[in-house]
Amino acid sequence: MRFIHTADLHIGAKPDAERPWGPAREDAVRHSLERFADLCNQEEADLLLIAGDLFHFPPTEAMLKEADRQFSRMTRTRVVMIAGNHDYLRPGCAFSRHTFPPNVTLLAGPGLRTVSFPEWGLDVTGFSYDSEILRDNPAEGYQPPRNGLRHFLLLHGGDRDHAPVNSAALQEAGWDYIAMGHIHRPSLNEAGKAAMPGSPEALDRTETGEHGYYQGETDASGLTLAWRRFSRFTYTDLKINVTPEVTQEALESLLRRRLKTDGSEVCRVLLGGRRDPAVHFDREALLRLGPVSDVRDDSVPDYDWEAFAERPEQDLLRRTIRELAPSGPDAEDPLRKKALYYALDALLASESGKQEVLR
Amino acid sequence: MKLTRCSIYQFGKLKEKEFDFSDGINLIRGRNESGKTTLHAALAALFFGAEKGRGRAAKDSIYRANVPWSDPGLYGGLLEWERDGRQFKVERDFAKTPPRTSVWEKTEGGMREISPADLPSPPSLSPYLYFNTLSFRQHSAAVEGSSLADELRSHIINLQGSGSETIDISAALGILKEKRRALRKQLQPEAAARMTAVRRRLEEARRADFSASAEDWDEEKERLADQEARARRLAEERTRISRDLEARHALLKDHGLDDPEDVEKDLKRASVTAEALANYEESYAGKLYSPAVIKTISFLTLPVMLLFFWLVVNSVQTQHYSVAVIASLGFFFSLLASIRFSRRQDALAAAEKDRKILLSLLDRYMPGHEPAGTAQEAAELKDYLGKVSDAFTYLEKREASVQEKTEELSRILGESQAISRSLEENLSLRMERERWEDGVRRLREEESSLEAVLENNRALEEEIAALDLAMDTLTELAARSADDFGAPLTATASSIFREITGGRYQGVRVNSSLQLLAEQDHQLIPPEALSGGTMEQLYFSFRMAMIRLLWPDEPMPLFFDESFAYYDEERLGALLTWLHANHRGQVFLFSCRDREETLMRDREIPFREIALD
Repeated sequence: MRFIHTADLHIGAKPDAERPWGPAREDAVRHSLERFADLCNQEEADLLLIAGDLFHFPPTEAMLKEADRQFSRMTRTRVVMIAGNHDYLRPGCAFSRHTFPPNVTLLAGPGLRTVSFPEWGLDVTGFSYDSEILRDNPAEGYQPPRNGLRHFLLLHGGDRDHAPVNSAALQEAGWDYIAMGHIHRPSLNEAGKAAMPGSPEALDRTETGEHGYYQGETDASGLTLAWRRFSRFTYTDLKINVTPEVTQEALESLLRRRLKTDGSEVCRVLLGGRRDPAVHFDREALLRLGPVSDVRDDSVPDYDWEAFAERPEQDLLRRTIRELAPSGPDAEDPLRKKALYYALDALLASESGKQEVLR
Repeated sequence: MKLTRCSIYQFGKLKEKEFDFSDGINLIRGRNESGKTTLHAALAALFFGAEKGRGRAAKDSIYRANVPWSDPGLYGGLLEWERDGRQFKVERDFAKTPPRTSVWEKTEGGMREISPADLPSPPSLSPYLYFNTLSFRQHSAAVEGSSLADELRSHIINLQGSGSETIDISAALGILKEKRRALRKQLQPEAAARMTAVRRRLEEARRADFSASAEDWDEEKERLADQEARARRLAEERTRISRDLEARHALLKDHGLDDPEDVEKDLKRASVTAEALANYEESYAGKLYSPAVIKTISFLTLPVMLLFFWLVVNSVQTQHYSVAVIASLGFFFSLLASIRFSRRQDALAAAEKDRKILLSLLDRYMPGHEPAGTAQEAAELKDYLGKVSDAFTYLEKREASVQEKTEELSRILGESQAISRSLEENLSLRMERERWEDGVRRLREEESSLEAVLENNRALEEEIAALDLAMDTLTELAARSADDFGAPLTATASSIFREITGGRYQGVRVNSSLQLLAEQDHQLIPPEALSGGTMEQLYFSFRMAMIRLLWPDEPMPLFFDESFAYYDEERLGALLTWLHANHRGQVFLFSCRDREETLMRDREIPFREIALD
């Protein structure tokens, strides 16, 4: 039996809506189920597991209709899904009233529900959210019957407000596979049985790295599992350590060479290292360069600390350093470090101002 | 430091002048308008440099004030000085934009050009401090008062030490303040409140309950459709039946049959009549006797009986017994006949009556015939009326069923209305729910965009906190230094002031805004309450104290440009004596009068005279 396990498609989400690449991101998220339908057909998957948050919010009838269209396109795939904390089943909502195509099962109870697939000797158990917060995990303490069948669990959550999970106990419970959802970054527990595929598309700029799904197969020998890339797009943290030689234009030209213009990547630029004290990087200009979601400048001016140390004891600059960073700037907490650099920058600027001539 | 030589190419009214300076007092003599103030300015400009400046400030800049009159293309000069045993030469060409500066250091091998930035100048020596300490301009040794307070506070920090660069804490604080202001401008302070509002509205929305609008919506709709179909069917049937009934009623009415009760009564009469006539006809009909015969015979029996009775009586009396027997038999038979025929006559009469009734009924219900009044006709009438009665009964039943249907219809319509009402309510609930869902979606979107704003705010606030810490630290360090500095400053100023006033004043005090006060007999006197000369002495003392604190180890040149107008002979003499005895650096006295020269000669104070004319 071949299956595909995904979660957190968040259809309806609009990442980076007000940025130039926002519409493309929105489309990618919107079409992700369509791509899964293609994938299921292509891979001849028997089962598609959607572990919650298929939608970014409780879906409208129109959204469900679109989803039905994709479900109906799957030629051989059965679908089992649950509602997560984003698309939770509010009493009377369109999602809970909806009648899906026959190949789709929504495990709609707030309590555990099971759907059986005798042809594969498989029971899939799971539960849905009926509100945004679920402090009790219905799967906690439940053990699937030892009846010779395989037992899969669909589970959305894992943190304090969303079906908290005691991973050891869950591991003991005897599930053959725990298809998880909720965290947008992929992970797999040590035993290789509880898998979090992550969201198939990145949903905000902090969700860096690749995004995909799990593909698995069960046979007499057991379970084989592999994570596959799904999204063609990534958010990337671009760490650049500058040196005193790097000027604004040098940095811009470096970025221009590095940034991809084909829409496959948006970078967050993280500047570190030491810059020339006279150079102040222009954040806005860097943001204008292309697909740059944010610029964080943690570079520090490359001061001549030895020259500072040669100044007289009473020198304000030295005293400021002594006051704010007695053991050097790198030993200080970020606030004091920042304050030190602000103070030094201002003092040195005032100094250069003072060397001015008669007016 | 010591100025050794100055060569002016052109500066203001001065042109191609050379001056050599010596240690101690240099008395620069010249008439009014001979260029003393110009030379004073030239020394400062050659030392510090001068620039055009911009805007209004440019108007009274030293640069602008001293642009050569005749040949502005040659504007500048050369200054030589010694410091710590090293000799420097700076040449400045102010005609260039920006002014060109060349600096050399004199070494054993000759002159070595060095970068202007490498020129070692006394620590903290800025133009600003120069004009507030070393340089005494005409008629005013007053320091700039409260504006100096801030400035001095910032300089003070660096003053006690030596070898420091010139830091301007006010400027530094200004830079930090400006940065803080720029960051604060980027803050969106309303975002937090908006977020609270959005979260509250989301919380409220979460509590909204639309479960009533839920499940049985579709069933209800189906039920309504069923009810409506049933109602339609019922109504159609009712109409059909009503039409049929109307037609039948009309038909009956056409036959004069509009009163079922009459028909019922007549039916009874007809059936009675039919039975009677049938009986009658069965008993009597077909026999030989016609009614006329019967009537005749009935009429005749009585006389025949009487005749026989008379015969019997006669024959008995006559004893004709055989006749009597026969006559008795005759009587007996005639009696029998009389009885029988009288019964027949009664039956006949009854039949006649029945027939009359029958005829009248026939006339009403089956007109157009020539009825005979037979039992047969009566039976037909009875059948007919029986059928009519049945028809009436049927119509009644049908009417009852129409009534029933009407009632059911109104019941169904009532129910449908209730369902529609509930559906309408449901629909409005549903629409409300959809609006609600839209609202929640919008709130969610707003929440996530606000989250980004708040994140940005947090980052900005972090920066602002760092700036605050930087500013607090600098301010505190400055204040601490000012406190450290204040006491020795006033102590030094006091001792100088005491000395040059011959002990008439005991000391100098500085209040928090750096305003100077003279202390005399435990009273503090503000400068404006002092005589002009004493006020100048007070400022002189304070400046000298500052100079000592600023440059404790380095002899600094002093410049007095006609600064002693308020001094009387005695005061000026005391001051010059004090300078000669206590000041290790050069003194430049710019003067147009003989006063200073006379006083110095009287007191045997050495000086070098430089004539400007």
